[in-house]
Amino acid sequence: MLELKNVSHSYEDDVKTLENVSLRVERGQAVAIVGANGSGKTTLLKLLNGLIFPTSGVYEFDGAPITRKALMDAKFAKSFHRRIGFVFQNADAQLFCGSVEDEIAFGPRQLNFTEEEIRRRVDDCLELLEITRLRRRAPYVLSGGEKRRVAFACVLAVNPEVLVADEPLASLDELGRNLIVELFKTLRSTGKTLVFASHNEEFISEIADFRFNVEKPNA
Amino acid sequence: MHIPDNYLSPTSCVVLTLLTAPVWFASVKKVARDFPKERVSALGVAAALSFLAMMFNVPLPGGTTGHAVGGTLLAVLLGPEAACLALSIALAIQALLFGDGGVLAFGANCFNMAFILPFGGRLVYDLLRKATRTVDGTKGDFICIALASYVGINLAALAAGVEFGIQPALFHTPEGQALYCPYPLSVSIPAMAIGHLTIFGLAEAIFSVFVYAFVRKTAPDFAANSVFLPETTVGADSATPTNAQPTFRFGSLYLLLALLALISPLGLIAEGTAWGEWDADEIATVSTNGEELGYTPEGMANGFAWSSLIPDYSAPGTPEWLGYILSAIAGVALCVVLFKLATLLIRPDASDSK
Amino acid sequence: MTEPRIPDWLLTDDAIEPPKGGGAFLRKTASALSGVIRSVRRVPENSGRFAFSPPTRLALAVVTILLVSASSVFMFVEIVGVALLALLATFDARRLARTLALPLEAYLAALVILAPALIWGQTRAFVVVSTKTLITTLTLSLLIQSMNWNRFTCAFKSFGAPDAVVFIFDLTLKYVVVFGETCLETLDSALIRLIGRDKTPGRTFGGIVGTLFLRSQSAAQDQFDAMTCRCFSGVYRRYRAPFRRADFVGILIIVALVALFVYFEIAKRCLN
Repeated sequence: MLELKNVSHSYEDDVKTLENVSLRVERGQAVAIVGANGSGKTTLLKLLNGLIFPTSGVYEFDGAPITRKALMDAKFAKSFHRRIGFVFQNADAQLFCGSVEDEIAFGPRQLNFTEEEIRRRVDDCLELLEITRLRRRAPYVLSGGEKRRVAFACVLAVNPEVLVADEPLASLDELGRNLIVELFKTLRSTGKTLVFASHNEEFISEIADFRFNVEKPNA
Repeated sequence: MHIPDNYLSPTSCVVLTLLTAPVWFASVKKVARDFPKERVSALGVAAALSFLAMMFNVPLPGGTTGHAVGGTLLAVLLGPEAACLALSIALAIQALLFGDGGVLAFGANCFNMAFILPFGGRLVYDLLRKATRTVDGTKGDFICIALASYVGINLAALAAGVEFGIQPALFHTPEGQALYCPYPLSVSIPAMAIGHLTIFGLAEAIFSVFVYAFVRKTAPDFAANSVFLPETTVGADSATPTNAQPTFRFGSLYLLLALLALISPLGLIAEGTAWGEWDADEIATVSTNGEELGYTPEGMANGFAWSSLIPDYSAPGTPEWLGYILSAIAGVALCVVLFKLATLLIRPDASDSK
Repeated sequence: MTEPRIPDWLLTDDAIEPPKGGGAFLRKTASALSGVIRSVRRVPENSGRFAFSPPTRLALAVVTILLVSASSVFMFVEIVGVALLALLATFDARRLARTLALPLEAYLAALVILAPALIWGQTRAFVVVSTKTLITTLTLSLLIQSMNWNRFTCAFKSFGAPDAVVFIFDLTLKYVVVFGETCLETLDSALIRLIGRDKTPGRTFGGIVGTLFLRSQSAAQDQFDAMTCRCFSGVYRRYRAPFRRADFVGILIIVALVALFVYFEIAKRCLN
């Protein structure tokens, strides 16, 4: 499903963020990305989502190479982003609409779903994440944990085949964590591919098929 | 400098909004053309920035503080068009959500603070830099931005002063009682100028210099990463140390804007004469004023003599009882309101009782 | 892993008498910002069954402000004022105080600004402009206090504003909160660290606003990334506010206001 071959990445200022990374994830597998702070976990996840591109090496998604040029094609870009969903570490950046319901409807609307279908998905996602009461609130006034739930709802509304999450348990309370753990279990059992960065050992051993260690490149 | 409602006539507000409309239009066009389409959303970020910038207290010599608008600074960092749109959105939010500046006067406030200020300030900055051949990030550059900010805010204040000052000449009763702002140009312009030539001008200059200095020092290549700079410009200018380097020319937009600025007072006067005819009708009203007083219900006067203070404000054609009813409702409601407020003073913790 | 070696000066207390003053501008800014953030976080109080939907409220408020401002018949202004006063009388005390703060401030400012006009003999402007200011700001304050921020953009949408405009407004409000909170934290930490006198207040201040500016640039990029990930293709759309039965009442009030305004203006001219 996802394959990184000898991928390196550096930003314009030549600071290497990833060096010679190879990773292969089959459909339906769950992978935990682990590593110390600043080791490049987030960079790797961004790369998987086509937000940044390898400076060398190849990234293939379901056999198709993901490059800056390939994603210039709007149709291809849209179908790629539909199939892979990304829950950001910083929910503030991820939520940008005026109300929670509009936030969840954003993705489906880009894909020209019927209003009826959109409404159904919004309702279901609100219920799934137990945030129906927040429906008309503005996302930016919610608490950290609530924002995170909304972010999950938004990503799930598009029904991606691969779910990428950066620290999915961060800023959640006990209740929220249990909800997400159960959600991940269910998603895995339905055959979704999961890639997540986490520091939570318990969570990793419960969900992940294997772990992938990212190491900071030597400067 | 936020003009509240009721100080400018609704006609003036309409005229100023119409004058600002082409600026908005041109700015939207420019921003949409120069910046990748999706990044127009970055305007929201810039608007939030300028909204927050207006909340900052600037330390002034002598231990006082003042507020800045930051219009010139935004125009230098983002370009005058993007600054115009960002400031307009910020002003809309201030007017609607905070009651800062009038709702009807929104167009007028945009004319002063989202058009005159950023475009004027940027023009002065570009001209100064061109005249002195200043290099980016040098002391000279900081002096340029300080002067440009100072001039920019004062231009905007002058515009507001003119808008206030022409009201009594254009909109008044035949006896010379002003309908809106009562101060003529000879009063309104000095009144606006004093504050802005001193505290607010200084605050604006200090604000611009310190923020600009910080941005230049911390992120000298900021302009290259700016979401607001067209990628083509970045490429073309990459030989020069920075992209804030003005690509200065009297483009058609500047010409249009200069023209607009010139004709704006004319527009107001033209509108005013139309309003003046309407006033002529009123002469009849007022000449028969003596009799008209009979229509004013004595009860509505509530003890204070509105009708004698403001002759044309009597309400013709209303039955006498209406005044009594109005004053009765007003009296009861006022008592209730005052009583409730009093409970707040007496028991501040028990005020939630519904 | 070695255990961190704590320097000795950290193990004893410092005896420093802080000099007086300093940081006034930081304190003022912090209180202004926290006021803004408080007002966004507020949850609306009257979303009962009989409440108007956001577009009706906005229309009612704007029409009221426009008519009051344009009216040349004082009776009209009085009727609106009395109606608002009656509405105010139904509020509980705390809400009353919150609603009245803005208009009273504007009213007092108007009285001060217009006071010299009395000496000039411009009595009419003094009475009329100040009264109208009180009533229009009261109208606006009632609107602001009854609606959460995001409901305003929802109302714009109902009036046919382009989706892109609504979207930009939403983003602006979002970033006012996000940046506002960051700023507040920065200000607070600056205030806490500002034990001695700030010798370079300008630099402190330039640092805070400058950081905000640079941060805003990267935030715009993150924002764009997030939109890309959710298949953004240039479509901005919003749910419209549903029309409620109470809205008919709101529309009736608008029609009645306009009718009354027109009646007074015509009557005034015809009777002479």
